[in-house]
Amino acid sequence: MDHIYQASDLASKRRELMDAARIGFAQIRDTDGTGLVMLPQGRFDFLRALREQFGRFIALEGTFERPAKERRATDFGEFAWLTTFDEDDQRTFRRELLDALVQSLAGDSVEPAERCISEWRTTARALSNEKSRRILTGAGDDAAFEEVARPE
Amino acid sequence: MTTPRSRRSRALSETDPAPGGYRPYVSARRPGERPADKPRYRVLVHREYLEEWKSLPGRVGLPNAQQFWDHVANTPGQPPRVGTSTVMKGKHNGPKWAGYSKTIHYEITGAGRIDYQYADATTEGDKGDAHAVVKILSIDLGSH
Repeated sequence: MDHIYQASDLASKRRELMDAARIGFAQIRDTDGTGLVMLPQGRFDFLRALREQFGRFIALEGTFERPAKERRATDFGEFAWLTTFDEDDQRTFRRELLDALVQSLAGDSVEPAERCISEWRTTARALSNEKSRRILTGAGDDAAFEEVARPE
Repeated sequence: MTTPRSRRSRALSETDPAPGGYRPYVSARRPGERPADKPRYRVLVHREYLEEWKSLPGRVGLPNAQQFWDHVANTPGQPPRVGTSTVMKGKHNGPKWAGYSKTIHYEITGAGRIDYQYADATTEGDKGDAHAVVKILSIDLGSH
């Protein structure tokens, strides 16, 4: 069972309490009975970022509950750029993001989830331009290219 | 008849001196990397983006433009040393020609994005010989 420090231990057992927090977390009971937890900054940042990512994912799940034709850009919230993609690609994103969140949980890092979102956003930006979208999504045209030299 | 050997060639043929030894006629190697060899990949740009290509040095700076060209002309399938590259997402990322890669997004830090596909050995073109090609599909210098 985890040891619970008392508020008075912040003075009398400061070093012990700090060491416990550094290797995981330290639980402290305030004088009114409120439970507090001290933990490394990196761990706290990870938990907070992961909470935000899961919050967005749950909101996205709610959006996918609606029929595709009824979804508006605002329904996607921070993922509004997803409207650049069709239904199939949107669902592929959802699946990849879920995989990335699982990896984030397993690896104690939100980097997989952030990378997944960043990569999809990059493609969304590319497809948001009409000319770029036409070429990137169209068939290859052999005659449309010209050789260029190294910029000088 | 024997040809007199120069002091430098004699010095070069000697075994390595002891650490700290000094060989006065052996020149030091050029610092840094070797000058670029002939690029492996021919670089082609979609005609609709030739103007953007020409303006690239002015928009992102000549060193960045050259860095991009060196990357795609030699190692288009590897992560760049400067900037970032990712594979395009979604169903439209596939090869547009037989033997080509998926579409790659290359992001020039803070300056724009260039999308391309590459092939290690394609026989496209008049000569019909197998050669390596990079095709730049689109250039966006305005959204970053």
